[in-house]
Amino acid sequence: MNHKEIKKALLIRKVEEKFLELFSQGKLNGTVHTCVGQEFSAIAFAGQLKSKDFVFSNHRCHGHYIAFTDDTRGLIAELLGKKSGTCGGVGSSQHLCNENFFSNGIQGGIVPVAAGFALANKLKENHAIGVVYIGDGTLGEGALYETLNIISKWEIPLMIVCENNFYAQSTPQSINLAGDILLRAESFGIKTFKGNTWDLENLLADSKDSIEFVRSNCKPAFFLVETYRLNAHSKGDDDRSKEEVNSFKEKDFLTLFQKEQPEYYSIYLKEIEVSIESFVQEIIGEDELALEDYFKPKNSSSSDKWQAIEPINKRQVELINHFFATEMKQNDEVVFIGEDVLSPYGGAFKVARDLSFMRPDRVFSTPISESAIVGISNGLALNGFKPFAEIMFGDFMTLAFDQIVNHASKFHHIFNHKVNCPVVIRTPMGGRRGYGPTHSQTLDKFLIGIDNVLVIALNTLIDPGILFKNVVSYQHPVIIIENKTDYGKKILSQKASNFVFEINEDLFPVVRVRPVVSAPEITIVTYGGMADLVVSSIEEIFLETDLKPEVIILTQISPLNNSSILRSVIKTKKLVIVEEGSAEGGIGSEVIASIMERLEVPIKVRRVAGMPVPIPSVKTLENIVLPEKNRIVSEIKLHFRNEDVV
Amino acid sequence: MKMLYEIRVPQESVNDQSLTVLELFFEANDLVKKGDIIAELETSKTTLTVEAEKEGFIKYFCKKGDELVINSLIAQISGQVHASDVTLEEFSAITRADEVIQSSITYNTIFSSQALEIIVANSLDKGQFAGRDFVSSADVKLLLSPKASSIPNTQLKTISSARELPPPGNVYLEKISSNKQREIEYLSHVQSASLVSVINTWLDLTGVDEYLHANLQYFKQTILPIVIYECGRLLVKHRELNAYYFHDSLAYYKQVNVGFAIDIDNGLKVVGIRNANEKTIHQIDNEAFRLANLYQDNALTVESLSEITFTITDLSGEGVFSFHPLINRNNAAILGISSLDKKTKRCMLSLAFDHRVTEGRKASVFLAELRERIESYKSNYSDERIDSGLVECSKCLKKLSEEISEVGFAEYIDRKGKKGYICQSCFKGF
Repeated sequence: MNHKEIKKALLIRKVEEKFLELFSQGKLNGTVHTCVGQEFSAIAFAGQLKSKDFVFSNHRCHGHYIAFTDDTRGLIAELLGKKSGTCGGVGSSQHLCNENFFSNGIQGGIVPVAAGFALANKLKENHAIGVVYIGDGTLGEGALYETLNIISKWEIPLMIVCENNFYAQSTPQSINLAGDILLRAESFGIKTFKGNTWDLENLLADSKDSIEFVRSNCKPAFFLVETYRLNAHSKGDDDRSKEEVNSFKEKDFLTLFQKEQPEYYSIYLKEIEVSIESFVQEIIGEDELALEDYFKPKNSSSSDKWQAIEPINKRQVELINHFFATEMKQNDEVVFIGEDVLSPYGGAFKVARDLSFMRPDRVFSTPISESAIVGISNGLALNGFKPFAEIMFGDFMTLAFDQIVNHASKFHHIFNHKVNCPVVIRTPMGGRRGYGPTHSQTLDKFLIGIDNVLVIALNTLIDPGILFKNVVSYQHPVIIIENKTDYGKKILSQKASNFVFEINEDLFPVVRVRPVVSAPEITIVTYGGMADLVVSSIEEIFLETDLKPEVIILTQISPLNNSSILRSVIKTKKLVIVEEGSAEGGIGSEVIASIMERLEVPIKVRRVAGMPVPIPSVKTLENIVLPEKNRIVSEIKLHFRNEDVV
Repeated sequence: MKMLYEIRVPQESVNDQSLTVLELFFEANDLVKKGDIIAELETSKTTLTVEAEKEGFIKYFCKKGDELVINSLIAQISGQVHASDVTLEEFSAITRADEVIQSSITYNTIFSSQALEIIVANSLDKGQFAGRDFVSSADVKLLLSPKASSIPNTQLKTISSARELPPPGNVYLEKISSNKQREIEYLSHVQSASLVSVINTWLDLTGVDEYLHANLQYFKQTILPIVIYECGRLLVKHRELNAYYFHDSLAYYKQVNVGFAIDIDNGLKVVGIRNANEKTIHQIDNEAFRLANLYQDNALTVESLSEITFTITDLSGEGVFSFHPLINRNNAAILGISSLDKKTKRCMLSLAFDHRVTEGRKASVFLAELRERIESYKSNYSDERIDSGLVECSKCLKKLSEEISEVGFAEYIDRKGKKGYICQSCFKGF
């Protein structure tokens, strides 16, 4: 056992003990999870890694961080909530990022992200590998098993280190773990290793072998490290028996080292304590991150320059497919990933047609594992790629929700702008194909308002190629909402006479449909699949309601940029939002709220939306539940006709 | 390059402004023979094939899947091989249906349902809204409001533009009254189309005047009430005369409102008997008298002046033998009644009609039927007239002279072969 490693382990322990001390003094905000007793698990693997390799860790990550980065100061400053912390104090204990080190506080969610990061290395052929640390508590998470399956099948060079400290927070393993841990990994065909933190010679030797296995075979491995957490899960929440804890304390390596080599121990301890104390003294008076360094509201003004648009005699799906075919031919960063996307099948809606023939190295057909699809995409995005994940049906987005909300959305900010996660998730929403309750819903409202996630919705009036090109260069997560029935429609095929069809100069342009001559008298806002329906009903809306309509079709639905709507509503004082999802807490609510807070005059508003029930398979019922032409016309007629609001 | 001829998109269906190219059967510069099918096009109803009419080398100006507007170029057939100076894309861009529409932004005026209701109710001409994209009820109301003159109106401008010319020096101007100006505007509307024709017929009024004397309360000197009455009924059958020409369509009125021109001292006005086809002669007699009085008192309402669907002008009191009446705006025809020739007991009926709406033969049928109907009044009341005080209903013993309904009694033969009369109310329960 070399003293360098012993010193590092002691450093980790003393830093964590300092954290607990600072916490008890009220100088440390939030919480800490210490790994006292488990330090050598971090050191064993970090010692085998090269600087190009990476580590993903979890809520109990201080040891992994120091072992891999040696950045003690950054860690202390981070937990003290200072600007000089590794993530500006934003992430604190559980959310660290430094070069190739990442941690996140979501159990299991980091595993597919780490797999994606490792896959990126494999695609780059840089022979870099990575380690992801999980605890035995994480063995309950489904995302882990989705990932075990994929990394084995795709031969992704990732080492999963499972630190088994026999407790999930306060719950002993006997209560919530069935079967055998190693067998779980083995059943996926993954090579397994096992060691513990009391037999360090073997742990170090086996960790070296296992890392070597992953690197040389370009295959995953699973290493089970048995260890024991000598402190509580977090701070004082410990119900374990004193006898049990003491028995492990007695065989703890650092305890033994202190006993057997007290001189060295006290030298090292002093050195470490001095250094930690000087860091603390230096850091404690430092500035915290200012709001403007953390978050700057973006100027959300929308262009008011408009140009006419022309029909394209191609179906929307052909144009999306054409975009990918063209882009992937020249752009090695683009990865297409999803279920059933290999050709000749080419995806459930044929967006991926022939792509895997053209770029077999960039098209990945996955098992049915939405969480892993998006998690792996997140990892690819963090590691220099531009992944386009396809979720076969919009309804399945819920299965990927953790990856969107807790990972893609947060990385940029919790890691204090050190990384971008330019992941793209595409999915088709909407009914009218009789697919029934779990394949027809419009869940858009659950996808808007996610921090730092751009949501755009295609429609049949604008060339999707324009939108996709701008998505490629966009540096943050994007969700693209497509529509099942729009795929087969041609662009702008329903160009009603008497109206001018135009787009503005926004990155994701607003489409405006206005009367050729007349001033509009009612503003109808819509987006996505509803746009086609509204535009095809526009003449009838006028005939029946006696109001000259202007339709504003949003392509960017979140964050909402309402300037175009506002400009129209100021003229018309009447605002209708047509959306396919149900009204409550929906896109329409957001449009209305955002418009009302910018207006000084009263206006009349109305949401026309789907009914708040699952979409029935019965055709007649489906047509009634979703907004259709007659309902749109009659609701507008009922609420706006002959009414002088202002 | 010597061009032999061009092949263009035929107008196969009036409903289709464009056709889709389904198939092109040759490659550029292929030699085609006369009768070869060179392309297949799709309309909304069917597919059609296009044949080469001459032999030569072909060059297409479209590609499969293109939408071509009527009369755009499909191909040229030339005596020699085409130079490849113009790319297919350039041409397909030019001939693409939607782009042609966009470049000129052509549009029709679309009226909302409410706007149409008001237009019809006020007998307005939709042409007044030419150049608009959408017309709502508010737009129509604006036109009807006193400030209407401020609304741009191309047609009114055309008519009034003559006034803007400077007058020649050898005349002096006396301003035409606004009433007269309106009259000119209304009459110009149909007549300016110069497709008006007039037909005349003699009307034998022998005995009819006796009917008028005996049955009418106010209009004993003119056949106007019975003409209105009979026209009202005939116009239901001859609906094209109860209509007007509207752009490329015929606008048929849903009601029969027969108007008659009055011109005593207060200017020419046409007042209307609404739903004339549902009114009795007595009702018409009464209403015409009432309207004439209102005219004299200058108290006519807008309603009695608007939405007249057919007009009658009665110059029988003026000693004219024949005249050419002028058709009112938003009418298809006008009937003129000339004076009675006291020797022959005849008068001339003249029907001026808009030839865009109907034609001479149809108008003649109308006029002939009208004549027969009016002349039929004499037969009942001159030769075989029965004293109404002697006729009584054999059931209720009511005398014909006591009958207040217009219908009169029916003659019947009972089972025993005996003749009798029966009144209408008893007949229904007979």
